[in-house]
Amino acid sequence: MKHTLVIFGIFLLTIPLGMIFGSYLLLPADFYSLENGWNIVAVLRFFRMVAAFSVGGALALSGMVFQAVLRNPLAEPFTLGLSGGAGVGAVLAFLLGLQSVSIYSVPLAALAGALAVLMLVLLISCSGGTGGSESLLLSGVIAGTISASVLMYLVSTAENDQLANITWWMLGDLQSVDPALLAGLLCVLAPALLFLRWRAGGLDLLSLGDETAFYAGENPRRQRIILIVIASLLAAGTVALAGIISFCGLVIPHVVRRIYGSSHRDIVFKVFLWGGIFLMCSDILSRSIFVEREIPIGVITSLVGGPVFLWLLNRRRREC
Amino acid sequence: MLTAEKVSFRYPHANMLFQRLSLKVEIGDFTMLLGPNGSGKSTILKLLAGYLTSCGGVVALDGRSLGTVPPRERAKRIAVVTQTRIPALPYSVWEFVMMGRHAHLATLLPPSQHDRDVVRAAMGLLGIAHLANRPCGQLSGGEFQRVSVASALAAESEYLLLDEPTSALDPEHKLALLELLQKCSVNMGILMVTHDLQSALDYAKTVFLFNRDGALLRGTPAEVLTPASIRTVYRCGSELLHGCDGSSARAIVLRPADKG
Repeated sequence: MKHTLVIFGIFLLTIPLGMIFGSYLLLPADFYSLENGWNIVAVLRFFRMVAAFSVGGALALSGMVFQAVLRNPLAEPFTLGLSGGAGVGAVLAFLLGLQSVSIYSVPLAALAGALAVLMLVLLISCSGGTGGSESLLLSGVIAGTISASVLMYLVSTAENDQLANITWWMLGDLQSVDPALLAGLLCVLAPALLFLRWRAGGLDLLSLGDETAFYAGENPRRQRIILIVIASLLAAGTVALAGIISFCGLVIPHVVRRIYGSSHRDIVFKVFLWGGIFLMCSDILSRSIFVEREIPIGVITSLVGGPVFLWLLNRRRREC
Repeated sequence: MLTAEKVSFRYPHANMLFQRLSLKVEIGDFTMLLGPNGSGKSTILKLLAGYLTSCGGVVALDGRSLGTVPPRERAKRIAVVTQTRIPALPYSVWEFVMMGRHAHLATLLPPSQHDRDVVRAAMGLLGIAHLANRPCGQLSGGEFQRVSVASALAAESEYLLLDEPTSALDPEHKLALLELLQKCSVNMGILMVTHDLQSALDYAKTVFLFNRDGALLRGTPAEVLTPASIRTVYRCGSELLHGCDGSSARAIVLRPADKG
């Protein structure tokens, strides 16, 4: 309970921090003035914090589900090759110049690519394999490898100016979050969060293997497909919104388990909150370290988050 | 009563494992199922628990076909201890045992006082109360095996099916577990797969022994575990030693067939 209050406090503190820091300092006193109303920079930064929070929460939840369902602590939102598919979609959109047609072309192409790979993985594993977590993992790795090589080929054909765009997108980018896309992600995120809390007990059992889950009264095959589709939708949603942000989905669930225990009944909301806070903090860093030019957020999540979490994971589990 | 009536089973792309096999487990039974490797002991267990579906014959719980029993009800009435596999995620022993009560737990509320009491009691019975906060991954094989049994007992089921629950236990804990199961079998139906002839001889009320021809020998331990049946089933010689004090204590001594 004390811990929950502390996280909530941090969460409430991070948002104004994110509105203060950036390419220049904006004091809270300047957020709102009677003559001009809300400061436009403050509003933009506020939306950016909401976006960072949603993306971080969605990625962390997605990683938590993948780790449980695939019964693999190394699983993360992009284990089934979604990032490769999203990359192919986005890079195709860049190369074909679809950006100039609509600002939604790149995100939608990425979303389509990710979902296409998901369909492929589910098809391969259910028709060719047993539909079990091992065959899913294997088909995911195969699909990921294939789409990664297609991606590499496409990137090799890109012109210089396109290349910069592509690189930025692949490292994750919260600079140009579109309100409509953010609303779209929230529409998936809110029901997904509630659904995952509702199915948390089943998630526990599923992570022990199909047989044990069955004996506890679950339907492991059906549950696994449903959960993977939800986790993939969350991951694909974040990709459409902000590109491929690594690390958050892999590590946040581990850190939360380290602190609070592993029972999903206890940690669904905490994983969500921690993921959101982590990405908000990373975003603040990404735009305040160098004032002239932002650092891609994917670089921050790995560079700063990595050592911190390595330290956390090596600490002995807290006695409860 | 948990019954398998004339069930046959084959895995996909494999020969028939057994045909028209019948067995039953009743409340009050402490039954052990023995047989050579690959004879289908674990398969029978999975059939009785509903995880596998037979190619012929019926598995029934109190006369109802097991397939028609709602999963949650089935989970409350039949608990299963599978061959142990340490979980991939770092669940604590407490969390793991609590998962045994999955079918009883409220979806959104934390475990009730009653749930916690049952889990604590089950852990006490298996002597693992002191491990409650340890991650399962840090336990020894034998410790985790006891954690698995505690998890199944926490389900408060009518039937308990166990697949080699003593395979990693030291003699002290093996005897303790067998004593415990015998005590539990007063108001539970227990079926335990094992390779330990001595345990079967000492504790089982009924023994099923897979013969080489895929049929089951059945009866009291003394009736089934004879040197003759052991020779045909396990292809090794054996001798039954009786306690010299006139008690019912017996010991099975095994030796390779060529030296028998």
